[in-house]
Amino acid sequence: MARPTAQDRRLDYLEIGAEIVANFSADDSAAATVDALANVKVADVADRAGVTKGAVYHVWPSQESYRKDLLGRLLEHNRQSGVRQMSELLQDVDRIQGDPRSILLQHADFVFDTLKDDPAFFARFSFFIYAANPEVNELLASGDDGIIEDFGPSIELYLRLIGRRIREPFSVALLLTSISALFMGLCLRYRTSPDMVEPTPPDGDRLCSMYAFGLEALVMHFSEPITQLD
Amino acid sequence: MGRRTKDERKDDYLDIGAALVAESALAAESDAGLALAHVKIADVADRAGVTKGALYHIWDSQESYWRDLLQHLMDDNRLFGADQLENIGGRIIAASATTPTLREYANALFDSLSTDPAFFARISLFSYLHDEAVRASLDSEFKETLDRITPMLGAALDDMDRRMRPGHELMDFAVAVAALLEGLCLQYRISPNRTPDLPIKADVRWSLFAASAEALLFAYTESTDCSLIQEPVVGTAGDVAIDVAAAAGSPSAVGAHGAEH
Repeated sequence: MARPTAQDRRLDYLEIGAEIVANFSADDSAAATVDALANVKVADVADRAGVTKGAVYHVWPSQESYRKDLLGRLLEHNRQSGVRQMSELLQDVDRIQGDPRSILLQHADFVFDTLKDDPAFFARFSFFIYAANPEVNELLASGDDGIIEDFGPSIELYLRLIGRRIREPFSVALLLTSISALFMGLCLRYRTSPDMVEPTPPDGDRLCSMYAFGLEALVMHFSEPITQLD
Repeated sequence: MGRRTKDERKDDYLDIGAALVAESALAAESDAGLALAHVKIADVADRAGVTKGALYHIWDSQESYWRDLLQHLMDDNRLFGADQLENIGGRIIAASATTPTLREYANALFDSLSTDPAFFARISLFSYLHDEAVRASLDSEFKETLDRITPMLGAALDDMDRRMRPGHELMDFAVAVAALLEGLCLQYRISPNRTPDLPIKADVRWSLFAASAEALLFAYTESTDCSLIQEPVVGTAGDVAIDVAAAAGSPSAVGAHGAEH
């Protein structure tokens, strides 16, 4: 067999890397390190803060423990930006005697427009390959659970306002899981292919965004009208 | 300014880190280490049965290996799943005696994608979207997938005697379903408990994806049969008691409901 050329070897090594990427599961690696934040160095943080590395290491014992807390911070940011808007819009619900539906659609559009271009929101996607890592998983999960906790009551309020309730076999939690799945999926796809997610309609203005439309579809499908018999 | 407490300093340092992450997502240069950091030269050497030195002979650093690896993943399209859709279709058609229902197809699609490591590796590449080459590659992969899905979806609508509601394109429906599928796979990734099958009948499976995709089906499409009073549930009609209003869960129907209150 001919001796492999430097080019062949190069390709071999890249191929192995590609295999590791394609089959990676975080339980393979004992490391609790959040590799997804490997580009954030304590040295850079110290530099930006105008302190020594030692000052930062006074707070965290290691670079890894810093990154773990940073992940929590990033997820908390996501949550807060959604929640702030929700409570503001809920005040509107109380005040305005108008159409709850337009408030819902408005809120959906607002959240989507706010987060679709937010780099911090996108930072979380690089963590999904590490989702099997218990710590990363806890942080990803708690971020999402937070959204569900905060958003749940307002969905129930919305349903009451339009005279509906969740129907069997669904639940508020399942509805919110589907809604946030649609949201994340559309955000991802907006980033790769904005023309597909926000197409220009042939005849003038679109009534609402793809996300708002889908959100409403899910809300309606998972619920039923409250009838007189009840 | 008073001396900041340890907790305040902790907050400062975390805020700086968050800013660095945000900036790296906007940087002109790709930081290829971001999503590939778990691919260590030492592990690659180990798997190749060579010394680390052999790799460092080619790449002068871990970072330069990551940069080439990112390019390699792009060139090769090896993480991209357009073919996968057709394979799944083929498999479930082969496995069942009758033509699979949309619900069965949806269940199979979800099962396949939610457990596919390559799908999650692809998602991690979204960290590099500011790199135009990466974005364009993910964009064309998505569009290629949609081009394959839409004819299948169109044929399925015909079979069910349904058509797009006025003002909606088949392509929009396909985009929304694809986004929903990817999003639910991410939820599954956090925990399979988040995306449980819906309890309807012991022998009938209704995944959360199938149920949610049906919501989109009812919103984007309508029955072509005017005599039909009750909208059928996709796949196995009658498995779920579904009232007319919920079935016709379209924004036009919502408007009517909203107005009553």
